[in-house]
Amino acid sequence: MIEKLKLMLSKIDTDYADLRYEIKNEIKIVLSGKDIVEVSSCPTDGFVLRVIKNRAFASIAFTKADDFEKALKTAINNAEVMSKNNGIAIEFVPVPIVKDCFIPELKEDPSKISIEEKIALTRHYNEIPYQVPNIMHTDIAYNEVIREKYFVSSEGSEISEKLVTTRIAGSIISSDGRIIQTVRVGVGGSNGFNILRNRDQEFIKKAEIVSNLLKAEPISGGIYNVILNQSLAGVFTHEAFGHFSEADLIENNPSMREKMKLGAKLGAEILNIKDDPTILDQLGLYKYDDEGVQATPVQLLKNGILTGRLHSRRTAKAFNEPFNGHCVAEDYHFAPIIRMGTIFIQPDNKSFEELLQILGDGLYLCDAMGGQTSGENFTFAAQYGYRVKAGKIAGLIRDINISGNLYDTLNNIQAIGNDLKLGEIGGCGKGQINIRSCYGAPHIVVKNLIVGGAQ
Amino acid sequence: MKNFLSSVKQKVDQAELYFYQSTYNSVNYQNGILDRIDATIQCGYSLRIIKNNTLGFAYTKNLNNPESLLQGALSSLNAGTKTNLRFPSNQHKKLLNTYDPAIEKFDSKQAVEECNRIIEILKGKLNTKIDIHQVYGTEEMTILNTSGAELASRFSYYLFIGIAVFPHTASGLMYILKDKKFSPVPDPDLSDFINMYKQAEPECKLNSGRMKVLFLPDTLYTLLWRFASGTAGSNIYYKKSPLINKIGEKIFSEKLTIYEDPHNDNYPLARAFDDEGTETQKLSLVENGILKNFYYDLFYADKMGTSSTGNGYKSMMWGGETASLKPAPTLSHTAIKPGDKSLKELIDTIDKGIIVAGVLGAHSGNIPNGDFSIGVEPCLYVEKGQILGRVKNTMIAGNIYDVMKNVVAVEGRLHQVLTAGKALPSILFDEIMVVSA
Repeated sequence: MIEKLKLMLSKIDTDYADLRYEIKNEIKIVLSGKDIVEVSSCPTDGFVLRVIKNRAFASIAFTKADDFEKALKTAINNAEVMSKNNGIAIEFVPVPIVKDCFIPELKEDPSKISIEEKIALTRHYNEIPYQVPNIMHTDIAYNEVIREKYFVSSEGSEISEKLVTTRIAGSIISSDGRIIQTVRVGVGGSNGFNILRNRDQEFIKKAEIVSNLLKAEPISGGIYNVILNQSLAGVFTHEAFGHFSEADLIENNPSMREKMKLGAKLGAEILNIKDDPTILDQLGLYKYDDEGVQATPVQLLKNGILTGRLHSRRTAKAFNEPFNGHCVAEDYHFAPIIRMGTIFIQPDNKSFEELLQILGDGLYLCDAMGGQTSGENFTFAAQYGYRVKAGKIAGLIRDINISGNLYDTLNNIQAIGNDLKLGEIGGCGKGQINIRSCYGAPHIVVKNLIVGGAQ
Repeated sequence: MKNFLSSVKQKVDQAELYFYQSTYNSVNYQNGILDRIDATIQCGYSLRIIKNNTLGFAYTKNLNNPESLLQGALSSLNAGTKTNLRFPSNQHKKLLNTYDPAIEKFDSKQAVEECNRIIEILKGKLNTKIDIHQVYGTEEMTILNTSGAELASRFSYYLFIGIAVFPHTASGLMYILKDKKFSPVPDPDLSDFINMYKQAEPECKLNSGRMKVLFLPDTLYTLLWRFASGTAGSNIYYKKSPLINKIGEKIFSEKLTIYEDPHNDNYPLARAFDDEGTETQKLSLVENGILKNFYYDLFYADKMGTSSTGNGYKSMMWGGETASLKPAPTLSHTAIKPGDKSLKELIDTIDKGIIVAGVLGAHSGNIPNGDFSIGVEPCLYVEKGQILGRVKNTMIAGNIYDVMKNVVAVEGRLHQVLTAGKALPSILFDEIMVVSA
């Protein structure tokens, strides 16, 4: 494939060009209730071409190889329009030329497991919640995505990479005829099929929680001191801070760029945050991004001070900061954009019991249920939580959504646990979906978070 | 495609072949400067087959090997997804004007000229970051099935989004224009946009409590996503809706009439048939607060022993490759009947309250139960009918089956929106819980 791409690339006369071809093999086994409503196993494919001409940048995604000439003409025409209309002048930071093929080691290659076994395992996990009272419905699906990527650039890079993502995930719904409660459940990762085996406990735990939520107290809206569990603290790290460390989100926002200068004191001294796509066996693993740049770990926050930023080749040049290989596409539909790989709060030394004592009175909030950010403001939902009184966990609470301001919240982190855990499902929807966006944290104590509630 | 379908027919009881192709250009301005122009040329095929009352499905982007597409669908039969559905035989009777050839002549040079014109006007009036996103192009779809349907449609599409970002934030006021061809932003719309931004610019504080809340059209998706969950035929079948057995009951304020309006071809992407070839219809969902209908695709209509309402679309909340999606019950052309007040009159009615000009986290939380709890960003504060400025760090929360009973008034004009709807008015609600730091 690389040779075919090189031949196509040889027809392009621009200052820079790269061409990516992907085959995406996806297997879906979808259960709704106890019925299988879909089993599909289909390969799809496509190309993405990017060009720079006269310091103007344009991209095009196309399906058929026969459309290459048309796509090239469109991309060059668009670059020329940009160039004539004083578009942002684009330069890429120089990076090493790479010729490599990266295929991570797997603990059981899912392509060697039969579809019958995958269906049986998905059915098995789907059956578990129904053993718990008041479980009304489940939506559980097996999803396997294998991205085979081939990348060539006019600078001479030739890279192929194969990324495998598997998961069994979905939601469990309970009802007592009066109200409906939902929790998410899921196991998965990037290191093979084995991570999906022997995970009954995850499904039992979540089924019991959603059943108990029917009797839980709805939370009243207000300002609370809280402990966030690892999943929720991970989403906080991703939503509230992580997106702000993506250079493209602040590149053309002068006031935000001023606030996010390297060296700025943004958070509590105990706070250290890193993004590292190179950690083996984690969901976020990759070696090369979709610009052909090798991924490197980035210390984003050190003792509360901003020390690094996630970059594409373009923004690394514009910010005059080191490149780090964080420009990733969902698939062949898209040109890549800056994404987090595996972002996490680094652990401190407090045990969970010590964190409860530090909190005293407040809330213990658990497990993410979606989040979103807009500039310095963020919101995310918790699947369930507990009241904490005098350092002791008390009653179960529900209907929990949290909102806050990035800068206030980073400074309001009072204590960090010693129990770092990275998520197995992750995901991010910044314009494109990134199913391998991985985040995590230890338990953390945060004061003064806004919790929305209808009471 | 016909030949392929004929060969498939010999091996199964029923088959349906779906094909789409699309070409789009997008022009993006950041902070008033042309940032990038991206384009996309896509196509895809999906095949559904039914054999011995079992449904199979497969898809591909390039139909280089039709036999492997068929084999994929045949092997998926092993999963045993049972159905008695019949692919519709109806031909395309309703003629809609969904394609304007003028879009073919519109190019990135003209798109850039329009952006430059808007930037020039706004630059003199608003001292802030202006972002513009323009998308335009064409789309074609074809559906063939063994019941004899041969349906095809062609669409043209133009979208303009302008955002004036508030200083020291990444959120701002948004303006949306959609059409079937290039359409310049009208001057009165620009004036209204500038005025609202200026009123909203100062920062102010708000005390938490229950108050009036005005949802602008493009934020109503927060409530409509939950309503769509409650009325989806699939959720009725699986009994995960609070609306089961409530047809004919009053569930919302009598001021709310909600319907599907797929035939209104004044707007782009009107549909005479859905993604399964079923004829679409103007479907009443809520009339004067009374629940009238649920909506169905073929699969769940069969499960429920009813007919498809023409709401089987290949769509999901976060996009995805069209060909890879199976049709599912979807509200795609939702409209709300306009009331009799102008936006200004609605704001005049607010003694103390907020305007929801943007939301954060509408997808979070317990959607099946109708609960919402969202960050409001931007959140405009109104006192005695005047917008005093914007409030940071604010959330609102409630349950749509309570909140939508409490409608003060509905705007008398429909606006095309970006998400979960076609054309919606602003709606003023009362007694919504607002929490502000």
